[in-house]
Amino acid sequence: METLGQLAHGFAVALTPLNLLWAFVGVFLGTAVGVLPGLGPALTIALLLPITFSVDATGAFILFAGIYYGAMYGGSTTSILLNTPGESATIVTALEGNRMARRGRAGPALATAAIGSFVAGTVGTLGLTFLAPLVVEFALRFGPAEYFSLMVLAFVTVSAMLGASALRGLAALLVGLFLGLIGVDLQTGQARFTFGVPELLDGIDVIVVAVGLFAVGETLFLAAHPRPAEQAPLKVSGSLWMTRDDWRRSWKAWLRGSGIGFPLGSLPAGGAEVPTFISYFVEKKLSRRPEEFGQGAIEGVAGPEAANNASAAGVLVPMLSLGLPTSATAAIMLSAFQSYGISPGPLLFQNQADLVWGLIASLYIGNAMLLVLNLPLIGLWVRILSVPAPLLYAGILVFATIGTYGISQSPVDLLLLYAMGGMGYLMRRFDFPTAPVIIGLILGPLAEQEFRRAMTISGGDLTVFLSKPLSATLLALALLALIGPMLLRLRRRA
Amino acid sequence: MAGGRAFGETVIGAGLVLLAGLVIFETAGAPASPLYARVGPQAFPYAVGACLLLLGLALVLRGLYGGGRDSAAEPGLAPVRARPVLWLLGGLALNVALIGEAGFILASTLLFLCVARAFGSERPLRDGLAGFALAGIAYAGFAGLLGISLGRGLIERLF
Repeated sequence: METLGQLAHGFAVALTPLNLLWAFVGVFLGTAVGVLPGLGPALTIALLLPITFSVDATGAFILFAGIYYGAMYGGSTTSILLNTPGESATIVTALEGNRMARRGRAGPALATAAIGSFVAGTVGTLGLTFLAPLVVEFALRFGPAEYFSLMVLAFVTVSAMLGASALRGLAALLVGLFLGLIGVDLQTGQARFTFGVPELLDGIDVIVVAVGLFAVGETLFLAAHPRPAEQAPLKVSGSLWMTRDDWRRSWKAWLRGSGIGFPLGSLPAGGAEVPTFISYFVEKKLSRRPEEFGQGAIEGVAGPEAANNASAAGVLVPMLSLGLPTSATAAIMLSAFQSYGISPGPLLFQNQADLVWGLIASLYIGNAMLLVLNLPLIGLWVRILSVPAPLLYAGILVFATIGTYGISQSPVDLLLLYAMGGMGYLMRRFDFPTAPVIIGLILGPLAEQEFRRAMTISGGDLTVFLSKPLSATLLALALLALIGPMLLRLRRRA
Repeated sequence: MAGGRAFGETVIGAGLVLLAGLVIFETAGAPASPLYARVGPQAFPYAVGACLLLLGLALVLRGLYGGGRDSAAEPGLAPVRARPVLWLLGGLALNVALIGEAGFILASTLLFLCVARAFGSERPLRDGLAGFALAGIAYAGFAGLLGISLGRGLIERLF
């Protein structure tokens, strides 16, 4: 088995003291931002992107992946104890988890979430280990036309298929594509949409957009529409241990959650939210005691928590093997690859074997660390939840300034950041999804590049996208994903 | 709140139509590239502009006539409160005005104070000290450990 040999080599990379330290810092930070409502992995990684100038690529990606996994663990703590999701992927967890906590069963709820996350994270990482090399084999046959069609499919699925409205998702995507156009066109050197501002020649940095949308926009929203006074987090009283009955009811839900989360995460359909909803409904259907759902059924915590962690691993499959990000976090990780001059995709596994396999191995290690961090040390995270809101949001904006001003010490970047924040506020207020903006911004320029390459090869013949069977299939799927839901909606209405 | 929803959709749709106009206008006015390329730098901007136009129009139409049907409304959203927003915007404006001359630490401390105030804090002394400490630690961490330059202002020059 070639894969096992590579993985063993990866462990040798990941187990060096420095890389272990990066993994630990990553999962620790990740859990913290997962616990804090309003902070997520995408924002945190964006704020840390400047470290790519001073840290080696392997260390940086081990850190980023640790944050990504850690946030999935941490989010469940907030959902269970505060009934406010710490993370969008843990909305469902609040349904049953908070009920359990109210009935004095916070301990078992946290335990099944953490152990389920560990099981699913490990299953998902195993899936990544063995599926990614297969995808790579397949992807080596892709030319520019296939890549372009694949990106079109990803555009449609991340914006039109998910969320309340296809129109809103597509609008967000197009805004991201527009932002991606700003700057010098690499092929001809022509400046586009720079309006005579020299700071715009290099394009708009993803840090500015992500931090503006997620940090400034969210803070503006929360300041403008204050919530009713938040209740204090519930106390974790009694034993953390799950009873024999809890174990019996949890383990199947963990495995089913993993089985739902990983494939959905690895399809270019994006996001960890949908698998958690599906897992919740599956558990409710299969339960012998469906009447307990809504009252604190442990399966309703175990399944979705497993699903979100497995989907986090799934998202890394297209990300590493195709260079195709399907969530905001993955898109920001892709831009980190770009700042190292590395392009993810099938060749990554050959040219950067140390990086890829070190990263994958560190995911196994990070998962084990997270289990320890999130069960015995749960008290620490509960204390983080009691940081007063004024200090929390003031701190977030100070860090937003660092992330942005550190790029080039230009006040223009700060003004752009605030403009993005204003846009983020409007999108939040009127319920437009923000992830498509980030994906459009990062993937747009790549799609344009592949399109122009394909056109150069075909001599300007547009039918090349339809005459290649694989490319045509991908485009047909994209069309289906675009109009399928609309047709269903029309039929329901009729 | 179906009316409010539709209002937002209409306004944002109109904004997108304006953006589309700008994209198409700018692209048409750009000088033709002297370099030969099979697909020039104008093709994608035109496509993006056209899609923005279509989506903007669709959003405006749905906002006006669709009754805000398929939008997930946030239940019980409080109306906008002006005071916190003004504190927050004031803090951001101070930050961008001061960061160059007065320096990162001073600008961030003031930003911190204003944002904390926007979120209802009544303890400016605590907030000022907390903000100063956070800015100082962050400056030392980013500039010292990671080599990210945040400029040198009044306080930074003392070290």
